[in-house]
Amino acid sequence: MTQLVKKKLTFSKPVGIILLLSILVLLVAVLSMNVGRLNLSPLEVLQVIIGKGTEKQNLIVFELRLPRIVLAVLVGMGMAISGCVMQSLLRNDLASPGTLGISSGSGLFVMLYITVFAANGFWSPMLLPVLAFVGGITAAMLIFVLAYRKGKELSPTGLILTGVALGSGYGALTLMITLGLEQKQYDFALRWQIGNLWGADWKYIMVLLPWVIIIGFYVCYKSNTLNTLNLGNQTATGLGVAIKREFIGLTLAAVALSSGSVALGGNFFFVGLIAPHLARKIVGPNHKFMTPTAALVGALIILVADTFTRTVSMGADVPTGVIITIFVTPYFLYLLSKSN
Amino acid sequence: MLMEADNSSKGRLKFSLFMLIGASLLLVATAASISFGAADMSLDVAWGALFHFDSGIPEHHIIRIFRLPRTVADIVVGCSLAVCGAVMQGTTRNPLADSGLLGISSGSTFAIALCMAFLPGRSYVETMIYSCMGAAVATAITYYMASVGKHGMTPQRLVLAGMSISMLFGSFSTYIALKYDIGQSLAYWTAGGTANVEWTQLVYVTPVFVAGLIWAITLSPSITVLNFGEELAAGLGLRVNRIKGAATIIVLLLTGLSVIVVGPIGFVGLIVPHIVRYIIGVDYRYIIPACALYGAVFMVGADLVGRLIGRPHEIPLGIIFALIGVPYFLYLVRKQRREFG
Repeated sequence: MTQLVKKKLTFSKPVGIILLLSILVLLVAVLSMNVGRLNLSPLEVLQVIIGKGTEKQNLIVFELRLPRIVLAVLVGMGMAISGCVMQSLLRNDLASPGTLGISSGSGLFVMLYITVFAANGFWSPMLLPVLAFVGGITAAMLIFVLAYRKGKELSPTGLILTGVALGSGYGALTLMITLGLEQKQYDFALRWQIGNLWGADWKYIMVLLPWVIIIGFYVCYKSNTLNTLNLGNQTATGLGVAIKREFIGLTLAAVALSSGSVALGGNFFFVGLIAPHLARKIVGPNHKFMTPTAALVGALIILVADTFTRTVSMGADVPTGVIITIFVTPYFLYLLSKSN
Repeated sequence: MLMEADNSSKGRLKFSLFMLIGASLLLVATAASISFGAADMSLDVAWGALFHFDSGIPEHHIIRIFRLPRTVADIVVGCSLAVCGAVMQGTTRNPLADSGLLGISSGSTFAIALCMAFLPGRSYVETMIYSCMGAAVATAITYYMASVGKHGMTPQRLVLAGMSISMLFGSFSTYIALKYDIGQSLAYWTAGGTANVEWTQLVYVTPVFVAGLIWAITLSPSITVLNFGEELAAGLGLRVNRIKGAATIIVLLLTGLSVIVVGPIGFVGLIVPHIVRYIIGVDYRYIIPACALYGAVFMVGADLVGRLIGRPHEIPLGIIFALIGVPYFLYLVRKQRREFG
């Protein structure tokens, strides 16, 4: 009897935390709807939501604020889940789309697209995540090819160092492209590189929404596999996991998620790294709970940072990523000093 | 005993030969750098501009005002960055140390962004001092963050700490750039280039550079010992902390002045010392002067390539070095995997 009660307790605590986080995300989202250049009271927002707002209020909420909030949530979730998967697959706390250079690979392709195709009037919202995905996959494959040594297991440290190096290579190429841009395009590129929720438009969100939800569910569905893979390849084989297939499937999922987020939200470097850490700290290493928690934490980080940038005037239209980097780097350095 | 003496004289011979080759390469590169560019000039015109200056010939002006300072700047910066890399790799015993990779340059960049925004009427010396101060702050944070904790300073941790410090200072710089509308001028300068260097700047930079270089060379015997391990060095009566402190100051001075002249260029300090070490061994008394020489050769050569490929546009130095440096870095990671564990 006592055992049963105990089991129930340990089971319900993570669920409770996930619920709490969801409520928190909703609360911040509502708060975020209220604030901005034009203040709306909570009551007005409520009126708009139930369909009784004026035309102007409708415009502000549905066309300006809501898409941005939804995008912030989606991008945060995408980056966080992607980081979660990478850290478990590689069994390295410092793996993430950012540190492995995968998001910079996506970024290079996005930049190419923006400068080459978009400049010639060829623009499609569907193509952007797809191209980012191609870039991300290329980057991921490059890392594996370069870090692979015959007859030896992939070394996590080698992977990270390879990723950092490749990342700076993509960075240099991106810089080369941006130097040839006009002032306005250049500003866009600069903002994009640091992380800026620029795709806040329903037509982009309609692409990203199913993307994140479907892959997110796939990863959650695979959480048992992730749990076993996290124990080590040999143990996982012993437990009957088809390592190669699962590894490839999950890698594809992780790259797809980060590419989608990067394409429309820019390069939020640290979110994919920090969110899984926080989640592990809050609910423990079981992926069944860790993945959704990380997703919510990621969403919360970007949402809070974005609300902050929209309300607190700092003399310039600051990209959201600047705030995140400034606040999150100290935490990352702290993690680094603890890691082995 | 005899064997040892034999070895060292052999080493000295090899070193002299290596330096001789380096010097002649530098001479060729310098001559090429002065004669080739947007407009090619024959060598004797270049020679004439240097030694029989005639104010009636426009080419002579081009060479004296543009090409010569540019080449000198390349030499100064190439020497500085390569020596910095060698000193850092020797004192930290970390094969991946480089002033660009460790975030030191990003600190300088941030300081210069601040200067661009807030001190429009600043003098060159002031900018230089601020640039060195920025480098100092970034170095302090990176080293501190990489060395605290139980496991000490591993290559992975140092590189990741450097990367995140770069990100942090980079985002500060981005904020400043967007707020004060200096984005693109900062980017041109970030990409790295010596195209707009003037004699008046070199006059301030060169003494600091020479002082730093000489200091590094006098320190080199201690670095050799330190490279065997701190405990061993302390056992041999070396004041480890003092040497490390001196090495750090040298790195700050040389990085700070390179960043102000050319912008934050990575990988020079990584590649050159490795190649030099591969050829002449682990003795820093030889490595540091050789790095200075070959760093200059590399930089002058890279700048020349950047000018000549895709004329009339120039490819910034930072990009050329990233394109050479990234594969090299990957190679190092692969080769030394056993050490990294």
